[in-house]
Amino acid sequence: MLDNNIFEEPIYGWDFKKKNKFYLNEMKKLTFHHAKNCQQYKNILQTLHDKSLNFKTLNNFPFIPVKLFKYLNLMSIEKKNVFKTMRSSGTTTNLPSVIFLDKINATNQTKVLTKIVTSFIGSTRLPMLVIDAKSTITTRKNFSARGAAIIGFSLFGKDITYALNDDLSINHKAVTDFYQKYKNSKILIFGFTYLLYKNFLKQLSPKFKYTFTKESIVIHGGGWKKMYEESITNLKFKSLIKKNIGINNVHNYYGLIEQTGSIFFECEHGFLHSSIYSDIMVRSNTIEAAKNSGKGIVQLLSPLATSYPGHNILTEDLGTIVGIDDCKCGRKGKYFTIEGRLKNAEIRGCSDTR
Amino acid sequence: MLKYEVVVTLDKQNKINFLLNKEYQCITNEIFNKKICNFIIELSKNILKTKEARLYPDLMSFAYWCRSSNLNKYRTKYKDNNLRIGIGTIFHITASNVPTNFAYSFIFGLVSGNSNIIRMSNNENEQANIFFRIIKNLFQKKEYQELKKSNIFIQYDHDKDINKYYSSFCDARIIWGGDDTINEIRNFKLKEKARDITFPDRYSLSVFDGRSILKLEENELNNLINNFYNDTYFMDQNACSSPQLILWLNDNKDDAKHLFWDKLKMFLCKYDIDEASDIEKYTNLCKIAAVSNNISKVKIENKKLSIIKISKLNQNIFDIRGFCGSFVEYNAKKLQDISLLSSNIVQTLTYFGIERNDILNIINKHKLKGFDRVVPIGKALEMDMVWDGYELPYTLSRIIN
Repeated sequence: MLDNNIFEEPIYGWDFKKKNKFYLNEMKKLTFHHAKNCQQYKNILQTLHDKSLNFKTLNNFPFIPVKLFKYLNLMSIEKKNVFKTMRSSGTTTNLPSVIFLDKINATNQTKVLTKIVTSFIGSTRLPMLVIDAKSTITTRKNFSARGAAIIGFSLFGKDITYALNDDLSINHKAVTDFYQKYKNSKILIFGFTYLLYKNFLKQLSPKFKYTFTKESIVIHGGGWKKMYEESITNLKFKSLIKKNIGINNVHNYYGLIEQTGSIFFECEHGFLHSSIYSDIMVRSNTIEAAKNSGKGIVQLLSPLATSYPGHNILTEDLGTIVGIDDCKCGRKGKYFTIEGRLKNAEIRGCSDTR
Repeated sequence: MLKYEVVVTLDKQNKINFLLNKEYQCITNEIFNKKICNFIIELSKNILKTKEARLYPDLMSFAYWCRSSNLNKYRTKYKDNNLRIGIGTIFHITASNVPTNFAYSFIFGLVSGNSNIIRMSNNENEQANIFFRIIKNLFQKKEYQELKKSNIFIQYDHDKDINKYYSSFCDARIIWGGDDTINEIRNFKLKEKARDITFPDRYSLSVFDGRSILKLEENELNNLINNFYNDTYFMDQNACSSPQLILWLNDNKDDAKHLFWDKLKMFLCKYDIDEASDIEKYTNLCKIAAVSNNISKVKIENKKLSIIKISKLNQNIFDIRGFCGSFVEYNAKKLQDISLLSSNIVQTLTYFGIERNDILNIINKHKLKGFDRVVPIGKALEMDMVWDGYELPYTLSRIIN
C-alpha cells in the first residue's frame, strides 16, 4: 500500500508542506483501509464519528487511544498472516498492549529503523554493548518492548555483549573483556535509560572503570519517570555518561510499541525529531483538533501501520513541539521534547471498572 | 455488656498502619445503644462545626445523615421489643474511591452493636483526615474509652496474610466492591458462623417522563439538573447507584432530551475532567463502540458529556458502562419496559415525573429481580441503613428469642 519510493527519500528532508500533503493522503487511505478490514475499527468510526468524516485537515482525523490495544485485539489482516506479535511490558496491574504485524509491516519497520539509526551512527556495524541481560530477549516467547528494542538495535552491532546478569546486576567480567578488546575502537552502547543509569553507570567504581573512545555512541530510550524521581535530567545524564565512560555522543530516542514504525531520535541539540516516516501532533484533550505546536498530549501518525489500526494513535505522554523544519541541526520536520507520562486517572466511585 | 478478647498474633504487624490505636478488644452491645448513639451524634456535631469540613459536601452529608434527629429516627425504627445484640467483630474492607465510604460502614457496624476493624484505602483523602482529627479528640473522653478500644482503623498494601488474619477471627466481613475485590477477599476463610456482606458492582438507571420535564418552570428545571448532577458527576458517574442508563418516556420527538442535555451542559462548567480521565473515558467509549452491536450512535457533546444511543433495550446493556458523564439513553414505550432489565445486577432506579407506586407495582407484579432501590432523582447517592437490600442494623446483629 505504501509507495516503496518513500524508502529512497531523504529521511529528514521533507518540509512541512510536502510532508503534510503526503500524510493527508496516507491517513485518508489508511483510515479507509482499516475501516474495511477491521470490524471493530469500523464500529468505532461509525458510532463515534460523523458519517461525513472531515478529511480536509490532518488534525481532526480519528485516532485510537493506545490503551485500547490493551483491551482489544485489533488487526486488519487475517490471523494466519500475523508474522510477529508485539507486547508492551505491561506492569503487574495492567494488561499489556498487543500489536499484530504482518510481514510487510515488520519489514518496513526494520527498514525505517535502519535508515534512521544509520543516519546517526553510520552504516558500519559497531561493537555493541547492550545494557541488559541476555535473558531479556531469550526467555519470552512473545517480544516484550525491551526485548524487541534490543533485537531491533542489534542489527547495528557486532560482537554483541550483554553487560548485565540475569538478575540485572552488572557482569564485570563480560564488560571488562569487551572493554579490553574495544577500548580503542568506536563502539555502540544501547540500553534502557534507567537500566543504563542505575544498573550500569551507578555501579562503576575506580576498580571497574571504563573509558571508551570519544566517538563512541550511546543510544538509550524507554522513559524518564524513574530518572526524574532521582532528579536526573537529560543534560545531567549526558554529563554523567561523559564523566563516567567518556562518551560524548548520546542519543535518547522516543517510541511506543503501539506504533513500532515510529522512532524519534534526539539530535545534537537535544531535540527529538520526526522523520518522513512518522509525524507528531499534540492536543489538549480528546475533543479539540490537534495542534502542530506547543505543549499537549502526544499524538503519533505512521503511514507504515497497515496490519493493525495504529496509524493514528493518542499516547499518554505529554510533549512539546518546539518547531518545524528549522532545528539548528538542519533536519526538517517537527522537533519536540517529551515531558513524561500523564498522571494516572483518579476517577471516584465504587466500581473498579477499569 | 459482653466482652471477649482477641490476642493479636500476626508477625506482619509492622506492615499495618494503625491510624488511631493499635490494641483491639471485641466488645458487643445491644443495637442503637445509648452511649454509642451519643458518640455518633457528637461526631456528627463536630464535623458540622468544623470549618474545613464544609469544603467537602460528601463529608457534610455524612454528618447530616448521622445527626441526632436522623439517628433517633432510625433508633425508633429499629429498636423493637426484641433484644438484639451485635454479632462481634466486623472486618470492613472499604472502597478506595469513595472518600466517605469507610465512615458509613463504621456507623453501620456501630449502631448494630459491634466492634469494628476498618481497612482504609491508602489514598490520601482529606475527608478522612478531618474525620480522624475529630475521632481522636472524642476518643480522649472518659465515656468513650470502650469505643476507643473496640474500633480500629488500619491501612496496608494488598497483603494476603493480613487479609487472611483478620478474616480468620471476625464475625462478619463487609466488602465494598468491585467484583474483583470481593472475589479476592472471598479467598480468605471466615469462621464457620461468620457472614459476608458484599456490595458488588451494580447497575443503576433513571426513568424520566419527557412531558413532565417540558412542563417545568425554569427554577424547577434547574433543580432537576442539580439533582441529576449530584447523582452522577459528583462521583464521576462511577458509583454503583449513579445511573448509567436513562429511559425516556413520552419523548418521541426528543424535545425533553434536548432541553435536559442542553441545560446540563451549561451546568457542567463546574465539573472538571483531567487529561488522563478524558483519555480513559474516550478509550472506554471506543471499547464500547468496537464490541457492541446495539449502539446506533455515540454523541460526544464535549469532553464532559457523551450520549450513547442504543437501538434495543436488553440485558446486554449492562456491559455498556460509562463514567465521567457517558450516558446510555433509550426511548421506552411504556414504564413496563423496565421489566426487560429484570436482573440481580440492577440496583437503583431514580425517577422523575413518574409515580413511585407505579414503579413498585411493576416490580412486584412482574416479579422483577434486582431493583433494590427506587428513589427520586437526587437521592441516588444518599446512604441509608438499608443498602442493596440488606437491613444493616439487623443483618449485623443477632436476636435473642
